[in-house]
Amino acid sequence: MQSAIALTFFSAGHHLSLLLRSKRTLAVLLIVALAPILSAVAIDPERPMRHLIPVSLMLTLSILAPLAGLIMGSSVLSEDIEAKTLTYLFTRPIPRASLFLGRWIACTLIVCSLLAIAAWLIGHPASSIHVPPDQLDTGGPATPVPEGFTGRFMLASAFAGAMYTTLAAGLSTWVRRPIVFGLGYAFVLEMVVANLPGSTQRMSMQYYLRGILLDGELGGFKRFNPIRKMEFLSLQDSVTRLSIAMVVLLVLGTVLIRRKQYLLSN
Amino acid sequence: MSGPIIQAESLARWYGEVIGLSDLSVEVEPGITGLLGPNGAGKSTFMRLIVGELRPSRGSLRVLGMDPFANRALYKRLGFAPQQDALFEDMTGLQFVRHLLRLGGFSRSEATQRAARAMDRVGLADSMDRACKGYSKGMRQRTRLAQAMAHDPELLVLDEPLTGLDPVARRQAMDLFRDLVAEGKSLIVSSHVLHEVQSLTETIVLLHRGRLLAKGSVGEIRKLLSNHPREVRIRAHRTRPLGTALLAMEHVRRVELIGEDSLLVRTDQLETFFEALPAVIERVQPGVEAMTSSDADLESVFDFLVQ
Repeated sequence: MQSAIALTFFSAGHHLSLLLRSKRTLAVLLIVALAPILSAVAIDPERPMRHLIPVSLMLTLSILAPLAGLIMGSSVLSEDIEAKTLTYLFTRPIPRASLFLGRWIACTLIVCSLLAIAAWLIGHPASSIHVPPDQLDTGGPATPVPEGFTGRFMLASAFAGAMYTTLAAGLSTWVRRPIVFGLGYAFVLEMVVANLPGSTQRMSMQYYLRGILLDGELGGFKRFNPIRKMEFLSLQDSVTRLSIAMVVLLVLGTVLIRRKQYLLSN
Repeated sequence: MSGPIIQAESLARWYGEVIGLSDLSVEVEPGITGLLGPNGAGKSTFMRLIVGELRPSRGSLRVLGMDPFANRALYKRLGFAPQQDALFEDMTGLQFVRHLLRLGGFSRSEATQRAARAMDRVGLADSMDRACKGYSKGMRQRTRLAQAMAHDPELLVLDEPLTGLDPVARRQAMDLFRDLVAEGKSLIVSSHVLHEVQSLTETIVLLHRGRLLAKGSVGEIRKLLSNHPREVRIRAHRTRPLGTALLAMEHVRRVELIGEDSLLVRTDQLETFFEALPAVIERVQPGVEAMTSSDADLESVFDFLVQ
């Protein structure tokens, strides 16, 4: 058991060192950097919430985090299957689960760090803006950024990165092109499910990510039409449910990688 | 290990409707065993079953007494050099071998030592600090060999290990294989070139279209092959009387006239034919100018054995 854990961390360290020098990480960095760059350009010092709502909810959580996570998570196995180097890894006395989990750790670490940094770069300047009391329009665009927003946005972004990375990693143990299936899920299925009224949206990851960001209170987000009539879970409940989903995906991934035969044609 | 290192019983593996291996029952003893067969014979499928990358569709397989699929205990005792030309391109040869050793649980220092030793044994000591993506085909082949033997396994499974090597490297590789056997290791070496395997080992397993065609010593296989019809082309001034005389020979199956000055003779027993030919030439005086015998190519030999 101890050796399996050590091998998991060795696999994580090695994959991390490879990823840090890879074009994949550069691509993820560029994608994630879009959010703070756009935020810096669009920021309105008098109405910080006006740009923060679309940048956090729409751009970061719904588009950039899924993209970054799926791109990074699909490196867990797909590259080795494509390059036919999987044979070397699977004929070594390392548990396949250690290999999978180690690589997942490396991918998640990168994606979560980048997204959390991006969220801070967006949230911190906006939170620092002082809205004069005479301009306060409760619920309006001049509403100051809710207290604790930056921290919750960082947590939600990191969770979004981790969830979509895990999804892609899990898919990579099952299908040859996890990114295609992942994109299909994130941008076709989930886009619909997450924005349907009623309880259907609870079947999407986006619902819980929004729950982390809003912590059950719409606050300054109540002017944002797509979500104004929705009810959200508290931060704690959202984190718990997403964590359970992540563990389930990881368990499925480890079971699949241990049992599946990967055919590498000559 | 005494007794067979590999025991296959009614082993079959198919990919959808394509048969990779069919009803293979064979036992492989320690030492070097040549796995021979034309392309598509099932050699790679058999090897992938041996190294536990695939599960049998039917039948059973034991390697070093163990079920091979994803068996970590087996991987400590087994080294595999796959046929496909894949390495971790951005790593140096040394890093590549060392990384795989680390995955096997070796410490950094021991992995480095073993990797350097393995690269040295395959003749890549001078190039081991270069990135794999800059390696020639032969160097890549040798790097695959190095990673297979670096952890000192007792069984090495080598899929077409001589492909891509120049004659000098090929000889060095063969010497290395013999050294490994002298150290007590067992090797399973696949090839589709008969003479390549023949010069390495006495023990051959012949596969064809996913089935076991023959297993035994080279001598036994040769005996089987000796009945394979061979062709001899003779260029002479007087081909017609020569053809008539040759047709009278018991082991000559057919004589075909090609143009005015050549004959294509098909015989069941090549050696007997060559023993008897001088007497015929002396008697007929056909004015022989040239004589060539096509080497039996493996594909046609296999086809013959299947019939």
